[in-house]
Amino acid sequence: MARLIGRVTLFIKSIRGGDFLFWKVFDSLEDWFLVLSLGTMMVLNFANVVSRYLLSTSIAFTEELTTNLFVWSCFIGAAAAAKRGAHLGFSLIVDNMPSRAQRIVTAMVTLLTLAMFALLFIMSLDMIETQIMLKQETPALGMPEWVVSMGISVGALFCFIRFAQAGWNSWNKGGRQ
Amino acid sequence: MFMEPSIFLFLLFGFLLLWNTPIAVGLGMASLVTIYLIDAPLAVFPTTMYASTAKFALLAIPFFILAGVVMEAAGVSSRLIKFADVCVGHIKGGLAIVAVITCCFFAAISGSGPATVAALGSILIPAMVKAGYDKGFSSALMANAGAIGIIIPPSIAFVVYGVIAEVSIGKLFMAGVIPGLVVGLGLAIVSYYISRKRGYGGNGKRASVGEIWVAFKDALWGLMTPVIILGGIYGGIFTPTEAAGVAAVYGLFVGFFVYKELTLPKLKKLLIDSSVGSAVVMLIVSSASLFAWLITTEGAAQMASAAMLEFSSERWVILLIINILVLIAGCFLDAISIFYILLPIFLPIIKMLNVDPVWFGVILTVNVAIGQITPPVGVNLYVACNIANLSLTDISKSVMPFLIASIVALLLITYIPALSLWLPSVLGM
Repeated sequence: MARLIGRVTLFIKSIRGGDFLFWKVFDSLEDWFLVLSLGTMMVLNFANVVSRYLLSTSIAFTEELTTNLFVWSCFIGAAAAAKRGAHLGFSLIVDNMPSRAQRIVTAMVTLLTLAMFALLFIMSLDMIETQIMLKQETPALGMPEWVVSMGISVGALFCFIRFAQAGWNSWNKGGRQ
Repeated sequence: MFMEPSIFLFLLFGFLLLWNTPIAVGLGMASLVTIYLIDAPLAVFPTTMYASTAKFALLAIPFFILAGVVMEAAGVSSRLIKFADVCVGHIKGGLAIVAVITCCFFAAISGSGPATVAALGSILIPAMVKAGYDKGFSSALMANAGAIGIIIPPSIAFVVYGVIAEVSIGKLFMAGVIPGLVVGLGLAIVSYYISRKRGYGGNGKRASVGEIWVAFKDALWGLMTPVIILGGIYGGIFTPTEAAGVAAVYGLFVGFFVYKELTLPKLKKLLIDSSVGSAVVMLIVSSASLFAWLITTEGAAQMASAAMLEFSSERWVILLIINILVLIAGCFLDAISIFYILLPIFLPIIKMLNVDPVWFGVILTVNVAIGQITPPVGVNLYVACNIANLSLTDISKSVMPFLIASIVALLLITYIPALSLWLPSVLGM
C-alpha cells in the first residue's frame, strides 16, 4: 500500500513537470491535429473551386467532409486555446483582488468550466449512442453520423484536460491566469 | 421556478462574467443551470453544440483568420504600409493617416479586428513612437482603426450575422464597404486634427512618382487580394466561404513563391494560430447558440421585443435604443456573443418596422466594432496594449477622441441607409 501511494505521488509530481512524456505527446497530437485539419479543409475547399471551373464538376462530398473536420477542429482548437489562456473574459475585478482571493476565484471558475466540459462529454456519449442505435448517416458520404459527433466528445475531453492544466498552473502561480 | 427563467438566465450569466469566467463558459453554464431548473431536456446541450458548429458558412471564420495571418507573415502588410507611406507620409500626422489607410486595406484581406491590429500595429506603433507620436495616441489609433477589420469585407461578424439572420453574406459584404470607409475617414480627420495640434510632423519628404510606382508594384500582390475576394463573390465564381479559403491559398502562394518570406515551420505555426483563434470564436458560437435557443424557446425574446415595440414604434427611436443597448453590451462582451444573445430579440422588431436586414446588419457590425475598443472588455485594446506595453487604463484615455469619431460615424450609418444599401443595389444584388 505504502509503495502504491509512493508511486502515485511520484506520478503526480512527474505530471506537474512540463517534460512529462504525456504532455509532450498530448501537445504534439493537438498541434498536428490542428495543422492537418485546417490544412485539409483549405486544400479541399480550393480543390472544389478549381474542379468546378476547370472540370465543371463539383466534388459534392468536399463540403460535408470539411464541415465534419471543422467540428473536430473547433473543439480541439478550444482546448489548445485554453492552454494559451486565449479564451476571452472580463478580468478587471479579479485582477484587482488580493492574490489569495484571486486564487480562490480562479479555482472556482476552473471547477465550473470543468463541470461544463464533463457534462458535455457525458451527454455527447448519450447522443452518440442514439446515433449508433438509429444508424444515422451523413447525407452525402453516408458516413456514420457518430464519427462526426465524436469530435464533440473527444474535444470536450481535450478541453477538460487543458482547462484543468491551466487552472492548476494558475493555482501554483498564486491565481494569476 | 422562483423567478422568470430568462431573467434568471441573464442575471446568472452576468454574475459568472464578473469573476473572469471565459465568456463561452459563462454562456454555457448559465444556460445549463436554467435548462436544469425549468426541467428542459439536457440532451439539447450536445446536439446544439454540434449543430451550431457543423455549418459550412462558418468555415469562413478559420479561413479568413488564416488569410489574415498568412498575409502578414508573407510580408504583405509591411509592403502595404510602405506604399501608403510614400503616398501620404509627408503630410502633417502622415504616419497616423498611413495607419488608417493601411487598416482599411488590410481590413479587405483580414476578417478580424484583433488580427488587423496585430498585423499592422506591431510595425506601425513602434514606427509612430519613434517618429515622436505619443504612445497612447498611437496604440489607441491602431486599436480603433483595426476595428475597421470587421466592417470592410471580408468580416467574421458579417458571416455570423448572415448565418443567424439568414441574410446573403455576399450582399452584407458589399454593404460594408462604404460604412467602413466612413469610419476610416472619421478616424483620419481626428488624427489629422490631433497631429496638427500636437505638432506631429510628416516624414518631411514628398516621394517622387517613380518611388510611388516602385512601392505600388511591390504592394500590388497585396492590393489584388480584395479584388479577388470581392470580385470572385460578386462575379459568382465562389461563395463567401470559398472566397475565404481561396484568399488563404493566394496568400500562401504570394508568401512562398513571390515574396519568399514563408517557410514550412512558419506555416505550421500559422495553421495552429489560426485554428486556435477561430476555435475561441467557435466555442462562443456554440455555447451562445444554446443561450439563444433557450431565450427563444422560453419566449423571452418575443417578450423583450414586444416590450421594446410597446415603448415606441418609431423607427429612429428604436434604432437609437438598439444602438445604445449594443454599445453598452459591447463594453463587456465580444461581437459574436452579442449577435447570438441579442439578435433573437432584435430581428422580429426589425421585421415589424420594415428595416432592411442587410442595413441593420451593417449598423450592428459597426456598433460591435466599436465594442472591440471600449474598455473593460475590448479585444483590440488588449492587442494594442500588448504591442505597446501599455496598461488598459493608459490606452483607455487616449481612445476617447477616436471613440467619439466612431460613434458619429455609427450615427451617420444608422440614419443614412444609402451608405450601406447603395453599393449592393448598384451592383444589382
